[in-house]
Amino acid sequence: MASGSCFRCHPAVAWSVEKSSIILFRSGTNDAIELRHPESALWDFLSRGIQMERITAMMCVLRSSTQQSAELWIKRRTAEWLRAGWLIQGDRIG
Amino acid sequence: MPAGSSREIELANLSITLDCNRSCSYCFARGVEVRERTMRRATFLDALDFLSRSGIPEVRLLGGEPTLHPDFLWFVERSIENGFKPVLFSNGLLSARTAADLQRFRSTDVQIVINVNDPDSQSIKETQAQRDTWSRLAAFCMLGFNIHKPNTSLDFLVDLTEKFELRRSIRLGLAHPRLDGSNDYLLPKNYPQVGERIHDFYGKARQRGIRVEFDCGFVPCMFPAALLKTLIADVGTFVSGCGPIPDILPDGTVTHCYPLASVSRCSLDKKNVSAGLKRKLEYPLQLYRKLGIYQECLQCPLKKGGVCGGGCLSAAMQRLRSASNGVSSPLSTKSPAQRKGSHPDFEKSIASRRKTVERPAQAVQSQFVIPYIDQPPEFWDQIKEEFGPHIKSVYFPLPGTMVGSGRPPQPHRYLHKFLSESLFRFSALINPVILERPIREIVRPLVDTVRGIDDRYGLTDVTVTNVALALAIKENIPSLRTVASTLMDISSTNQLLMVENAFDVIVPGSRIMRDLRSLQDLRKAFHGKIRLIVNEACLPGCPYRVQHFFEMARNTIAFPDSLCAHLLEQKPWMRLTGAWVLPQHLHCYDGLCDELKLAGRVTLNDPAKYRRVLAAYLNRQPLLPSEIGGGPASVLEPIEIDEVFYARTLRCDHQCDRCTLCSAYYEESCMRTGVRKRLAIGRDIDRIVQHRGR
Repeated sequence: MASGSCFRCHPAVAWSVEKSSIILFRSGTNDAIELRHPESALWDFLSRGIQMERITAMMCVLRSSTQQSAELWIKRRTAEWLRAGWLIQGDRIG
Repeated sequence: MPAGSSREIELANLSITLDCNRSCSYCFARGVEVRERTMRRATFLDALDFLSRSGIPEVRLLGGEPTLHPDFLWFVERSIENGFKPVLFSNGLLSARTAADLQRFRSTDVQIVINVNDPDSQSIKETQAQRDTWSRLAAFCMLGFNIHKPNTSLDFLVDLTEKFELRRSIRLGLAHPRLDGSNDYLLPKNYPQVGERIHDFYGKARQRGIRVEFDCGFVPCMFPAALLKTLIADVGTFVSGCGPIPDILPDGTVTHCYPLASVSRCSLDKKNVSAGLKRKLEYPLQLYRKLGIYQECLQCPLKKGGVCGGGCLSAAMQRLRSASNGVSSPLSTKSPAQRKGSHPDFEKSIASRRKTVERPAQAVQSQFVIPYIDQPPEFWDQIKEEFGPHIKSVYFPLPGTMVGSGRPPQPHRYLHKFLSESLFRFSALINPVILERPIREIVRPLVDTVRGIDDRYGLTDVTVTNVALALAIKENIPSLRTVASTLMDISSTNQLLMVENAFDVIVPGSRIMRDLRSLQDLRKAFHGKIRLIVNEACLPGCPYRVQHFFEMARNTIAFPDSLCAHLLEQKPWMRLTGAWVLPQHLHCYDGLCDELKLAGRVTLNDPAKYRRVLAAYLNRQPLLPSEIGGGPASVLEPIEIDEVFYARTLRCDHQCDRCTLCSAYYEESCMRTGVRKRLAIGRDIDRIVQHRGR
């Protein structure tokens, strides 16, 4: 994962933390999506503004994967969320 | 009877006025923005047409307080004429004339739901007015109660129903949050506790043949299994749902309900029927219907199966989080329905909700206990109007000379009028730093005096500095809450063992006002309420304090000097260590207290300053420490206190002898603001004057 990558939650997105998932809501498009582990963990980290290097390290542990695999996984997920409008590219993370 | 089409909305409320003569902290109708606060006759007739088209048989008249509407009787008459059954939701504070007017109707035609409050939180005048109403209109009236505290006992509702021979039904509601969380509401985590209370209450009510009706937002999981079985068996008493029971507001707009008024609203037109209206009102909310009030709701079979709606949606939406980086909240993106008929309240609600997300709502809802200052009724009317819902009570020293109250005697020209006529609740102070006669001699006359005042004016609590006195009050006047004065200096959990059963409220000692850990410990260990004084400037653990308060109470000087003056002359930075909390830093205490108290019987007796300081604390607007009316140990210089510094003083180890944080901050702030230079010049002038004097 490029260390310079940074994302922000889309301003029109709200989320609720559920027992074993996180639900994202976007009222303008009336979209909702339920994220389960480990996606929910990634969203949580991003929303807290944690640095991408630390997120990658934590995802390695949570997914029991190598750093390379974690980076690739994060890259795919964030690209997906960017495309769907849950995240936006930002000057800072979170 | 109105022609019945297929109905999608069973009920609708007509909120005919937003004016009210009570200021319940949990009220979710307060603050709803409308173009007109009272409904016009034409709007009312339009609303009747809507009910008729929709086949809704009841006209539910709400407010505010509906009987305050000048056309109230006309509305009732038109409703009956048009074949509806009016149901009136009132607080019962009816004038004799209004009660007489209502007596003209048949009790089978008109029903009145009297929403009462916990007897402990009502003034005697309110209780008396309600009793008068029940006596006159018993056949019309049933009781309603909104539960906003987890430990509220409900048994009094059964007793009142029997005593006044009211209709044998009781409506129970849960106090739900407005979307911006600005009212006092019952937290979902407390629902199970309330469920237990209802269990006991339901059994008693049922035994005596009284039916219990549940308003919206109750969830099955809050009730013990045995009660749930009974509720299901008693068909019709309990339906777990969340609206809409639309509120038709005075200006003719319609909301999903009051709590969600800012996000779900449309206009009533000549063609609306309930089905279409329901769709319009539901549209902006449907996205969030997945949510329940608990994290567990998403997987709950009862919610999945449609048995439970997941509780109040507004309460569930309190769980939403959003980016706290100043961007607009998700809810601000308008749905198509709202794009057509958007309301200005919408954005405002979102903005305040964002604040709620960033900082817990609890302290924003704080209730203030404020000092009596001797001002004419107009002053207090204005305070009531501006700040009423946030004022828990107004405190005043015990009149007479039996004991002092920690301050020099203050004027009391208007006190009797204030206590007799104002709609505030009252707290009495009996808090000399020591009682000047042996406790066994003074307790009885003090208790008698308090009882006399309570009988005459109605008190909610009494602040005392003595455990024996507190116990005697509890024993003899059990309806009064006892409050441990800050002068008792209760600062640690082991002290709680020493005052066990004596106090309902504790005002912690000033020594821990800057010690969050100790406040947290106290909060956890004490089962009653914690009340914090926000603008008290005393130094923590000040060794001069007892003598100072003793002298002050016996002094006739309006603004007596502090005995610590010489100390503060030498070490002025110690003023920064005082027990004060600035309004802008109140959020540091969120979750640590239940009530806030403003000191200032003497220091805030200028009415303009009183209002300014009270408004700042209520709205958490910044003040300088020199502006809060904290007494002689206050910071006198107009220096700003930044949050980082203040927050550090809340978590430091308070070893001031080994630390330079406050002294350095003080020096630097004075330099920056030029205060030091002015002080130096002032001291030079003093020296010259003294020299000349010699």
